[in-house]
Amino acid sequence: MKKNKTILFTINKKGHSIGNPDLLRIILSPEYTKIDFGYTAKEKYISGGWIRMEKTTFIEIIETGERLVLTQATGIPIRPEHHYFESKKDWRYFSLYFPAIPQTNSTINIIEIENGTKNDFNYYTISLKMVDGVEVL
Amino acid sequence: MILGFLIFILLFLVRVLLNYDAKIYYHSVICIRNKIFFIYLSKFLKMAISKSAYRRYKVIDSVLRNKSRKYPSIEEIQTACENALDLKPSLDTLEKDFRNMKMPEPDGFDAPIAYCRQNRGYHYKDPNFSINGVSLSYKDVDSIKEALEILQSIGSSRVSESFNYALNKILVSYKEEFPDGNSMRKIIETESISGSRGFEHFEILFLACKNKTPLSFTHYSYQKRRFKSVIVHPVLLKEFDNFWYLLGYSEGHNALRTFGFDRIYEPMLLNRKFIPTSADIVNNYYKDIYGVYPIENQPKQEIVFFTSTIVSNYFEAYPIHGSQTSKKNDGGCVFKLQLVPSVELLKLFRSYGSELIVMQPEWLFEELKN
Repeated sequence: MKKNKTILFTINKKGHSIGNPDLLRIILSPEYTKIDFGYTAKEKYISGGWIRMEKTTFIEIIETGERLVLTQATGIPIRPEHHYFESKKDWRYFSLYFPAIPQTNSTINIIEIENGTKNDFNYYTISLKMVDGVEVL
Repeated sequence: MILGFLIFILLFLVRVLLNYDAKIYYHSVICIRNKIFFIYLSKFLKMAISKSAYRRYKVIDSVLRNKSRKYPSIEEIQTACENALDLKPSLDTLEKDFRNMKMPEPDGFDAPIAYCRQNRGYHYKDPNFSINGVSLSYKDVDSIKEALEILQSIGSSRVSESFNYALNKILVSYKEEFPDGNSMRKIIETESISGSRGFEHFEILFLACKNKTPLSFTHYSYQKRRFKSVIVHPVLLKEFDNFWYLLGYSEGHNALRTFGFDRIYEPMLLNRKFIPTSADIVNNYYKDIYGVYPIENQPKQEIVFFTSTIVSNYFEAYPIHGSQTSKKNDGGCVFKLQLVPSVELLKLFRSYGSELIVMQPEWLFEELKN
């Protein structure tokens, strides 16, 4: 697969706790890395509670140890802002943008807060094998 | 001397401007043949004809095509021009117009105008000729006007921006062609509320179906309250009860699946080999179902229900499926359907409350009772 293409990975992975959003897709563009998430409001919170991302959220490429910090978020505010749900039945689709990562086989972590609690949106050892990727037109 | 020079310059400018006016380019000419529209959008019709001359040509053309008044004299054509354009062209001008219209394209229209000595008037040797390529009777033109009005009524908010854009171009040309058409007057109103979620994806989903391009998108299930990223090989867009759906082969489900537009997020076209679904399968997919979402593990079966007299009138007037049969009695009517039960069928039955009672199958009776 050519490395100047945009490559999409279908992931559908849960986070490190049940309260985390679903990690849906990872898109590797030559200019950026985009990660799509879906969150469903939880019954245990009043009116579904709230969500937001830490400004310091980063991707860690396990093989190289390189860390790439969040550049942009759509559909979710950055702390100190919050998105408050209106009900326990709400849901939210959102995307996080990071600098481009190499289009080679790699394993990544997505970390909102290092050694964080189960409420933080952390995802570990996500395998990106180029053979599983599909080129976006 | 300076004054003379200025007058010379002024006259020169006037001449240049007049010459420029004579080089007006006419775009978007509608050509209708056998009731199919061909819009010349990219190709400009380059004609060194002034706008006023072109308007006269259109009047001459319409007069010569008027089947109810054949062989008009030049004076009658002159009167028609005066009525239509509020400007009476001289007979010399009209004769010059005839000559110009007879010239081969692109300078003229290759119009087969001839003078009939016997009938003392002008006519087209080819009765189907028109300078706009229109070979339609007035009845046909009326039908097209009606069709355009229907298109405007149903098309404006239901499909994509690009469709609207194309439709508007046709309508603009139509108004130019048939100025009597009052396309602003709404005669048909269909149920359509703008701002429906997911409708902004209409174009990409339509193109994916048309070009057989696989799609990646995120889907949110209202029932399961769960997000899932899917790769779908799309085949059909379906509208039911004012909701839009995408039907396609889902790689994850390894089967055909229906996805509501409102639950689709960020569709992306993929460079991936398309997995086709045969036309027979697609055609039969919604054949035995009312709606789009079949109830899991329920095959096609006979569904019998009773309705009160008032409700039976609606079911009789608007059968919900081709298999529907009915038998009336004094208290109401018994209907029978051969269908795969669906979410939408249950919703419909529930909407009639106690005015509708399911008699068969038993499980459906119990389901609705709950």
